[in-house]
Amino acid sequence: MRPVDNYEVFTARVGEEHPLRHNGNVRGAEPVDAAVYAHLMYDEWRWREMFVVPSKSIVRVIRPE
Amino acid sequence: MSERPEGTEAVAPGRGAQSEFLVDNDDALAALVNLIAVIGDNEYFLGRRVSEWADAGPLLESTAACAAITQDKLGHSRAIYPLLEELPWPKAPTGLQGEIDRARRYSVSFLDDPLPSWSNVVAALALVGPAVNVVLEAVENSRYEALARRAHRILDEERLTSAYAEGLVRQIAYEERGRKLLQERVNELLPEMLCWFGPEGEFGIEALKAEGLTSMGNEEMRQRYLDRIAPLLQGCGIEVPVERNESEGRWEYGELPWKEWNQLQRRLERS
Repeated sequence: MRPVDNYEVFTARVGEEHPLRHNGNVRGAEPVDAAVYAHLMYDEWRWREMFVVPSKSIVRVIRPE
Repeated sequence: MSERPEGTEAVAPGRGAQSEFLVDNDDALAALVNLIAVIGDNEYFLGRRVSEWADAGPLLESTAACAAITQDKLGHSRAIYPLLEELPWPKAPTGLQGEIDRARRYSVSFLDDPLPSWSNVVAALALVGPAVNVVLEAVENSRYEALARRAHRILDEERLTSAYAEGLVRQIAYEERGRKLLQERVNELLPEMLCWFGPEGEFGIEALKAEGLTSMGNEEMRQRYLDRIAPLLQGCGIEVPVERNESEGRWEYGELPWKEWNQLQRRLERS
């Protein structure tokens, strides 16, 4: 099995008042796979924008106490 | 697409209803009915077979994707089938809602039975899906606007499924065992898919072209199909018995099993 990475999914709903928010995560062997999975799995709403970001690229600045 | 599609023993009566799409050329109309049944059945059976893996993919993500693709494919077949009732043709095939609604199938034989392994699912999505899409591209600007509109919408929805199918090929071919399994499936399915477009200069498809109902001949569709699938498979280490003839700008694919080919149902007769 090809190794898969974790990707965080961020979306913004249609409508200017809705900000970008963290939606969940998907696993994929490459970014395009993660993008496809995110599009297929998080289809409960019409999104204005959707991003997938490799989880390992996210730098935590503040940790919860 | 074929010379004698189902129910074409009699000459089609011109019923003259305002909503009907009328074609003067009965050969073209017969081929159009056949083409619609073929698109509908392949969408239907691909959706149905993928649905049977909607709880069994190797990743949660691929399982969810199977469910989404099932919805798409069955939706496409339901959009296509009503066109059979619109055309003024006696005894046109009916649309399928269940697997045994009609004895005669217009889908490739690879989809006859539930897909026994994940490598079959990958092969079906990677080889059957793109073939149907090439035919939809050929009718996207058809003079039959109801078909052209549906083809355009389906192709728009297919962009995601195509990207997914390509990812599945890269995924399964990453390791030797998966590559070997996919190779077996490709060996089994590719000859049928290359035949699926029909022999060059086929009577029915030429009639469709002459009437402005499709924009591509069989060989042009087959070449476009190979443009799409051969580089992907070869790039993943899958052997494909085709060779690019750069001087003529076409794929050479050798002899195809036309003796086993059922022209009406667009499928190989498996013994």
